[in-house]
This record gives sequence, C-alpha cells and structure tokens, in this order.
Amino acid sequence: MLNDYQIIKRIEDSPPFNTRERILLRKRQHWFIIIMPVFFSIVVAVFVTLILYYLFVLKISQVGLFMSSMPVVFLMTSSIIAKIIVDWHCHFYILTTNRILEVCYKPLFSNYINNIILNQVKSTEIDIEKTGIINQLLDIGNVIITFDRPTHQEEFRLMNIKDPKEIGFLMSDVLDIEKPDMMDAPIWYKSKNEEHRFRITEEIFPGHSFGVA
Amino acid sequence: MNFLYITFYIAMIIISAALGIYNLLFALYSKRAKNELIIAIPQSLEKLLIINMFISFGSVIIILFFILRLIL
Repeated sequence: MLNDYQIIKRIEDSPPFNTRERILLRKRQHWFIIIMPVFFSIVVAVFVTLILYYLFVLKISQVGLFMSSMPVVFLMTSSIIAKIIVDWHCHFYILTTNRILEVCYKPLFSNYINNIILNQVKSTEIDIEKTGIINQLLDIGNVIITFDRPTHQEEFRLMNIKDPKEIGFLMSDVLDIEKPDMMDAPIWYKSKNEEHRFRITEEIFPGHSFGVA
Repeated sequence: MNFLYITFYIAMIIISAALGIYNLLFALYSKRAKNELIIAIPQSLEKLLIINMFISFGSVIIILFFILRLIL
C-alpha cells in the first residue's frame, strides 16, 4: 500500500549505478564435494570394463565386441566426470558491498542466478552449520541467511563452502549496516509510452503531479 | 549369432555418436558461458571435451570396421 509521501519516479531519473561496489568474497563449494561422484564414476567404469572383458573375451572370445565397447565406456565416464567438474566450477557465490549473488550455470542443462540487493532486504538471522566428521576435519559447512519477505525466498544458502565460520561473520558485518527505510525511498518504474509517462502515478493519485523530484 | 553382434555394434555406434554430439554441444555452451556470464571453464576440461569428440569419431570408424569385417 502506497503512502501519501511516497514519490514515484521514472527509472531513467534514478541515480547512476554505484561504481564503488566492491567484491568482498568469491566462493565455490569445497573441492571435496566432487571427489566422491568422480571416484564413484571411475569405480563403475572399471567394474563395467571387467564385466565386458569377462563376457566378450573370456566367455565368447569376441575381442571385436570388447574393443568396440571400450571407447563407449571411456566416453561415458569422461563425459560424466567433465559434467561434474564443470557444474562445480560454474556454481559460485559472490558477496559485494551491495549484493549477494549465487550463480549456478550448468551448460546445456540449466542456468540459475540469484541476486539479492542488500539495501532492499533486512537479514534477520545468519546460521552457520557444520555436520559430519569429514566436514569437521576439512572445515566445510553451510551458511544460511534468513531474509524478510521482499526476497520471495526467505533463505539464502551458501552450501558446502570452506571456512563457513569466517564467512558467516563476514556476512554479519556486511549485512549489519544501517539501511534506509524502504517506505520512504522512491519507487522506480520504467515508462514505455512517452506520451503517457506517469500513468501509474495518475491512476493512483488522480489530479496530482508527481514524477519529477 | 551374427545378427546379435551387428545389433550390438550398431547400438555402440549410436551411443558413441550421441556422446560425440553431446560433448560438442557441451563445449559450445561452455563457450557461451564464457561470452555471456564471463565464466571460463578450465583449459584442461576444454581439451578433454575436444579429445572426447575425437574419440567418439574414432570409435565410430573402428566399430564400422568391425561391422564390415563381420559382414564381408
């Protein structure tokens, strides 16, 4: 619900992009996360190779069948391993002075970017969790930031990252800043029709001339 | 029995070609990520994808050779 004192302005009149935005942190999930699936893929490939060798060479003496199936097994394994590594490589978190960004790009499969502008949200909770022996030994854990409702998604999770405690405290420092009251800030909108530029304003406040500060 | 072997070879050719095309598309989309999102995948992985494409091409030829040897 809009209040009387609110001003509605065109996005073109908004202040320029904050050029002082600094990157505070760039993090990927810990490399240990991909060790298990890669190891499992190699074990399965070796197991399948042994079965094929037993079946085609020892049982029916058809070396041709074995020779033709080997490149396929190798191709499958290397493609799966490449996908695991690329998915891990293209999934990262960026914390800047103005936003938190989660980029998850899986070439050919999916594309996901979660961008939270920090001066538009209020964080209510930062949880740091480390569970399991391996996670304790390698210092792997999750940082879960709970926001208020305007984000639509109430939680932002940095999963399986190294040094979660340090990052959690850094997050606390960044998020614990004085934010302007959002209800006092102008609401920016993009006008497409130049003749009818302040249509939204006029519909909400008929007879008033808003739009220019 | 020969019919069974040929069926197996054809299945291997199809899988091999499909994996080659998949690797090609994967490499192309990884390049796109580099242009659009400025995420560059490691050079060694790019090489692995190219090697996979060559292996796929080579294995199709090898399997065709085995099929021809079986038929002729």
